[in-house]
Amino acid sequence: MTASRRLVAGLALIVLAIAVVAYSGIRSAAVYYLTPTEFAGRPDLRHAQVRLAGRVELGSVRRRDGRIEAFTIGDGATTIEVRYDGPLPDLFAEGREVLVEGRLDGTVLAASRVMTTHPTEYREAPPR
Amino acid sequence: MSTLGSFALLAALVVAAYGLVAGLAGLRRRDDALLESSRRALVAWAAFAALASAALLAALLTRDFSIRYVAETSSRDLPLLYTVTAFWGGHAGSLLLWALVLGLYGVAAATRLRPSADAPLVFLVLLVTAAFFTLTLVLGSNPFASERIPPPDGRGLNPLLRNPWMAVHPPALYLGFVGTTVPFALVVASLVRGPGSRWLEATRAWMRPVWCFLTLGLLFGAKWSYVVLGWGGYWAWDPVENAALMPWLTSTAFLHSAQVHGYDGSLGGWTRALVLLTFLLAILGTFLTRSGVLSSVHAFAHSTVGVYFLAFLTVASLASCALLLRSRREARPAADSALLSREVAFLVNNVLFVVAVAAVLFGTLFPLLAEAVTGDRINVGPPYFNQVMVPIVLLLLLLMAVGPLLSWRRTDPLVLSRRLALPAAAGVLSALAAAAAGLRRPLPLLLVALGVLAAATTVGEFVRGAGLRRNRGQAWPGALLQLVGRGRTRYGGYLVHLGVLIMLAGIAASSAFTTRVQVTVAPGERFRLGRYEVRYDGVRAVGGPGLLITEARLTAADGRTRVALRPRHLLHTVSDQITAEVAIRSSWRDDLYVVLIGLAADRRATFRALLTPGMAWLWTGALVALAGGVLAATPARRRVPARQAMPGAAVVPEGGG
Repeated sequence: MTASRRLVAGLALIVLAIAVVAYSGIRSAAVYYLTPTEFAGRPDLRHAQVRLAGRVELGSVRRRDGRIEAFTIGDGATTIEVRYDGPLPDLFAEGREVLVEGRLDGTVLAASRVMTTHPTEYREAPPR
Repeated sequence: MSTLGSFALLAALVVAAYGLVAGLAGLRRRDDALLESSRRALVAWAAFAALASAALLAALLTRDFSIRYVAETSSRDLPLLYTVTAFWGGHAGSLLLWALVLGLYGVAAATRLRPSADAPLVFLVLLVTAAFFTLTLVLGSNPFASERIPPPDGRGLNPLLRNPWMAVHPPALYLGFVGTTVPFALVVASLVRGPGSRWLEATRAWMRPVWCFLTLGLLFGAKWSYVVLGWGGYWAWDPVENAALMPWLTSTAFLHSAQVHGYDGSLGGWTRALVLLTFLLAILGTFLTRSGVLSSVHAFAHSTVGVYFLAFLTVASLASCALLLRSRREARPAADSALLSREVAFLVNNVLFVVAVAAVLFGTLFPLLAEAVTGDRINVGPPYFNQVMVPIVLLLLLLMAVGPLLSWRRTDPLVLSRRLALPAAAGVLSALAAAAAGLRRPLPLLLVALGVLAAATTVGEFVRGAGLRRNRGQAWPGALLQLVGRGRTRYGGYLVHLGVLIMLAGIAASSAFTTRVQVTVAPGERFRLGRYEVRYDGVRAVGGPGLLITEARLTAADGRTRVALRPRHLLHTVSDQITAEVAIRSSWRDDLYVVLIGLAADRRATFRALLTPGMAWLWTGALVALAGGVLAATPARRRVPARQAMPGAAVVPEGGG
């Protein structure tokens, strides 16, 4: 095996290894992104990590000791209750569009992250 | 103003079209007068782009809300700095900024590019790009479109953009993004003309400052994210951030592979491909952030600008591929290099950079592909990017450590091991020390060992070079200064390496050892944050133009020092939005970072507080890297060739190494 062939083989190996890492990474990091209505129509995603986009329903925010622990989001047709005790982004408020990421626990979405949306971009609240 | 602006844009379009026709005809007929006319058309186009920009700026400053763009991005209460910022605070304005910056580069190219057979082609490529952006501005996203019912006070700039870092971030990034056009044009010209083009030196000389601007853009963006967004981080693998990172990665790869091509002429096609890719990724970045495609494929359908960009991107990519394929017989592999040689190290480095770009691109575009194929909207989060980038960074660190010690063509393993002994010992000892201090996980330990190893070999290069000069009787400081001054690209490059290493130390420390708390406290109550005890003293209201500010007062004490922290809540009265102003106390050891996130009627306040080590290292490292880049980009003074100046003196190879 000449030096250049060994080089090509070595490089191919590196690329392949990183491709494997990328593939496994994307499978574990991919999150479905739906509205509550779409989510209600997808029983196959009942146990998947999902990201729901909706408006925080007026009067739905429940607080304890000044901290928010639950609220409801909706898209006009369907609403879903969200349980969350982590940090909230600065622009979180009733009536505002938010993204909620988490997994269904019974009928309540146990959220791991809450983000607010802006017209052209979104920014995440810190991971817990 | 809207008439003047629209006129300037139309005139720019006409001039660019004329320049294209004149240039093509001049090339065909070998008519120098026509070619000169095409060059002047490029300058005239730049003048009209500047005129349109001046018109928009004037409209913003005079609060001319009859122009929709002005109405939507500014308001009467906006301070001067942010009134100027509003120029690039919206869609159409940022496209006009693109054109303005392209005009600057166009004038620079038209005046500084030496007359050569390549030059008219370079101007043609710049004119095509100019024509495209002007067309997009006129038809797709016109900043001078009028507002039917002008709002009396304007709708105001997005509060998140009202920050000095955001004011400087887009111009810096665009100087980088747009700057890639000139290297692209140089390479396209060389590919069209075939053998005989002296493109490499010119392309490197243009790419170095562009690299600095891209770095600056990334730095400002990270700083904005850290200071303004209040989540305590600086990088979220957000698609918008990835868009800026990808051309930075390919331009960095180019600056490395160009050294191999300059040394023995190999990797010619690859090196050129990296330049073409850098430009295409800069356009892709603009497309991704400007088309609405990132939120959803469906949103893209509503954006006309996106379609223009996609068309331009497709044509530019196809043309690039065709040109590269046509010239592939020029590509020569490094035939007789041993595996243990500097060029192989550069090649592996290049492959890693390109793999990194592919991985970032894949993660960024995967949601779009998935939605197009399955209809499911999917999001790819930071875990993917972290998982992919960690092995790449570790391998790059290894190369950074070993690469400078390798000779071209062939390195004697014995010589290498002798050169590597001291740095390797330093690396192992540091890892052992870190383990003794309580660091147990293997990946961070490996990072410490490789990082110190790389730092030691890099510092060793400075010591070795200066040592040679010292042997000739110079003192250390003078020897070091002269060494760096004479070999700017080489030692500038090593300075970049040192900066990157300092940054990596900061990134590793901040991502591994951050302490966070979120607490709700009444005035007078205390909470713990790492070694600090923080007392909440109370709140007070502060007025401001168009703002209601609530300021919380806290005192943090760690036994020796007391620190006052003043996080604030800003209610923007025009847009009825609330933003937070973070209180940050930075030191070499760590950053105290406090955000006021909620305030109850009984003055109980909720705070998010973080103690993050290494943040100062991160910013310092970035600045050191930037200084290295600027040093490498500074052209050396024209000197009398060494041989003539000192007959018989040994010529020490300098620069380019």
